[in-house]
Amino acid sequence: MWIYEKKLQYPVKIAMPNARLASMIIDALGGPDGELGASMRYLNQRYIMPSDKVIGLLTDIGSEELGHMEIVAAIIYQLTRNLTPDEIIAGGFDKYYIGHGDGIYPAAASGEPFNAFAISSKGDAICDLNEDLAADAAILQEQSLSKNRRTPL
Amino acid sequence: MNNGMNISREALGAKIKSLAFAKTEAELFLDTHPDSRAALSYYHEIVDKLAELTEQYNDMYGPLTADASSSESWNWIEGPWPWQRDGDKNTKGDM
Repeated sequence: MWIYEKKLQYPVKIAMPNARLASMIIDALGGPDGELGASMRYLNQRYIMPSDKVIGLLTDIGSEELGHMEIVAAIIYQLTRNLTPDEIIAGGFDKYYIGHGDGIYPAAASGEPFNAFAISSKGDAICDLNEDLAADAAILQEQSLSKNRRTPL
Repeated sequence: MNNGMNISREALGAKIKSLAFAKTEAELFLDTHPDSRAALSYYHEIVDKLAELTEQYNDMYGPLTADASSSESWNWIEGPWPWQRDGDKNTKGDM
């Protein structure tokens, strides 16, 4: 059971829409290492965990990831406000826009819809926890890539 | 602490968000350190503070959860919703 709180975990206030940025940040929503995958990973893996500590931890992390999913959706929503057709095309957002318009659709930046193949739930605690570590490492890698190889968007 | 009734929605919301963030992180710590008295006492300190500010927010700016909706009217559905900004095309009126 979950209860919705009418607030973002961290505020999102984007002044300037940016279709190019949106077409990349969508990866953090529905990509293989995105927040939808993260929440589904933890929340589905928890059932077979052998200790109450780990069940509690995966429950609480998975719930927090749902909040992260909402933050990323809010970012996409605000980045794509009031775009003109020219801005949509120039930003490379047209391929998303033709199917989803202003809607929020969990997909990878490559256009692939969210796929549960990106997560593991193997019925084995060690397998699953290693996958969790790998998934978090993937996020760290993405963050360090974007920091070290900053190129004009 | 400023308990005045003149605090803006944004300022009060920011206080609540920062306390709620601390609460979530303390929960994760306690999940794996359930015997830490220091963490437990920190957690309850945050929870009490958060409850106080949440009640103030509900009174001033509308309910953060559905069960805090007014007994006079169902103001739970009134915007702005958390992702919306002024001037959004769908923040006013019904669909």
